[in-house]
Amino acid sequence: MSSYHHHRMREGLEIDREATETFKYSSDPVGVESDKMSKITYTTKIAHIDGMCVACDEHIGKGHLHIIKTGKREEYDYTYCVECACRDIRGRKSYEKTDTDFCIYVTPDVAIDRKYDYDLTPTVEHEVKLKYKEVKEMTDSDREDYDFSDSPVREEEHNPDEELEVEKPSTPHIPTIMSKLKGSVDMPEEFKFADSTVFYTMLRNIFRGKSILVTGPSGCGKSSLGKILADITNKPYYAFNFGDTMNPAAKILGDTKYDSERGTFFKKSRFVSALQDKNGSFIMLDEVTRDRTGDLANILMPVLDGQKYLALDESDDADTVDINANAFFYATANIGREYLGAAHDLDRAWKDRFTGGIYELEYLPQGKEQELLMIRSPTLDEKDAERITDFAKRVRDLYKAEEISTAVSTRMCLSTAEFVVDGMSLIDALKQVCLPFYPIVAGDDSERVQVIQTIQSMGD
Amino acid sequence: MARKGLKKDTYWHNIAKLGISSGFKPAQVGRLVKECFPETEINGRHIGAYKRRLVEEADVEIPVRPTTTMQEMMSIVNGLVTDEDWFSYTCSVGSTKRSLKCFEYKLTAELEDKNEMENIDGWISTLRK
Repeated sequence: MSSYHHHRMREGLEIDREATETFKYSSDPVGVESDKMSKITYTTKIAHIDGMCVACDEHIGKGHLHIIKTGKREEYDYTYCVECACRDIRGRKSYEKTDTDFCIYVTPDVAIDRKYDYDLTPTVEHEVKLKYKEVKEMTDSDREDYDFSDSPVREEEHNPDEELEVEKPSTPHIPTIMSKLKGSVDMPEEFKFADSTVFYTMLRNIFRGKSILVTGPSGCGKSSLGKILADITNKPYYAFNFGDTMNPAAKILGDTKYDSERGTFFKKSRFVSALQDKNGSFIMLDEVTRDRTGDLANILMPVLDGQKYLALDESDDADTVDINANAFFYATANIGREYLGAAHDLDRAWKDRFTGGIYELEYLPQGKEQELLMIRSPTLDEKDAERITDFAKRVRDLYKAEEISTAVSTRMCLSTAEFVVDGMSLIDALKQVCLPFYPIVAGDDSERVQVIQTIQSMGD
Repeated sequence: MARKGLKKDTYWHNIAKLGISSGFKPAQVGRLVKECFPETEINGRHIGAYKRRLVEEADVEIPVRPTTTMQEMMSIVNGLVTDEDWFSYTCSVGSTKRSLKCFEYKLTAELEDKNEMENIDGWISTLRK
């Protein structure tokens, strides 16, 4: 007895021995692969397709039996007219090229009412006959086994051939947080800033509560990326921009206020509330390098490291705020001479606090940047989008070659696209947006002249 | 030949594995998963595919009949959800919503553009001549 039969018996399933042997003969008449059993499973479902049967000229839009034959890693769909059982149906040419050996007979009642009990028996002539024992209602168990939804994922019986050839893993497979995230979370449409590893490691850091610092040139999408991650993780989002403050201490801790009834009192900052959010907050610390006083770094040190507290003042009995264990810090910074002047890097101690890592973002590749322009400005002409991103790429090349002091950012590309959509010519828009970033200096080889030449070349 | 490739892990696998190894049908296991992760898109089809994988890997023995009741399983599975699973589920739902939001943005941006032209006409008429 073959292993296939053993297996079926072990499962307590009935074997149609005659059908099995017959089909085996028809698929392998000379018995070359006599040890292998090719299995074919048939499942049926009602399909609703508008079409017309050529032979009987009947409209078959209402419902007909749709048979899916599953062979070894192949799947064929056969559609039949329920009136005359022919397969020649107008408008479904894709089925004409398959062989016509198979035939099936079924009454419309059976097809429409889903009351059937079938016995599909392959014969030597490759003819599949549907024999009715009796028409009966499906039981609950049958319904669970035969789901009629159109979902492409379908439970099949496993192939005994495959079972024989499965290679058993040498070491047990242990799921990890990264593998679960990769398996469960799709990269969102808007995430065009980095490769998938960056995305999934950032999610991992959020889960572990490891703070991260994202650096990169201005306008490359650091802050947008933070907002996207906050949306995905569904954490309460608190953004603090240190580019708009003269007093970082007041922004972080709070400030004294005056009230005519209460007099002078201390009001805690929004940052303090964010630290204590019971749902575990996503705290964006935007533009941390804009603070030139050094106060911000000093105040945030114990917040970001293992101590996890915030002292509200410097007295011995100062109130301290405990930080929720699920609070996550996402900081952004511009690093480089053009932003930080002589001290063109971050403090080493600062960097150490970002235990989730420092991610260095670059500008988007041209194709992705073009895609982003089309998303943000849907009415922008595709050729214009291409020319804007091409210009940005050329200027960035000049920047990399250290011929100019600053590059064209994605934000500048987006502004240019908006001008173009509102009716300005591409050349004028580029001049309007980009030229102010390059100083007016005498001479033919100044940065501004180089950029003007690049802009003008876009008109060709 | 069995298909080879990276094994995919997801947040609902723990529950599905327990349900399948307890002899429940995929549709019933789907209900268990839904009980723990209400917004999930996982259905009996996905569970069925996972069951096939477990059988191929010979990872679990599947009894012909359920070894416990559905009510009992419902009470057990909630304890199986780890922090990692819950976080992956939250991100999965969040990422789907985010993608939908992006499409929504595209659609509204197109619609707003048409309204914008009408608004501009109105705004121009208010300018001093």
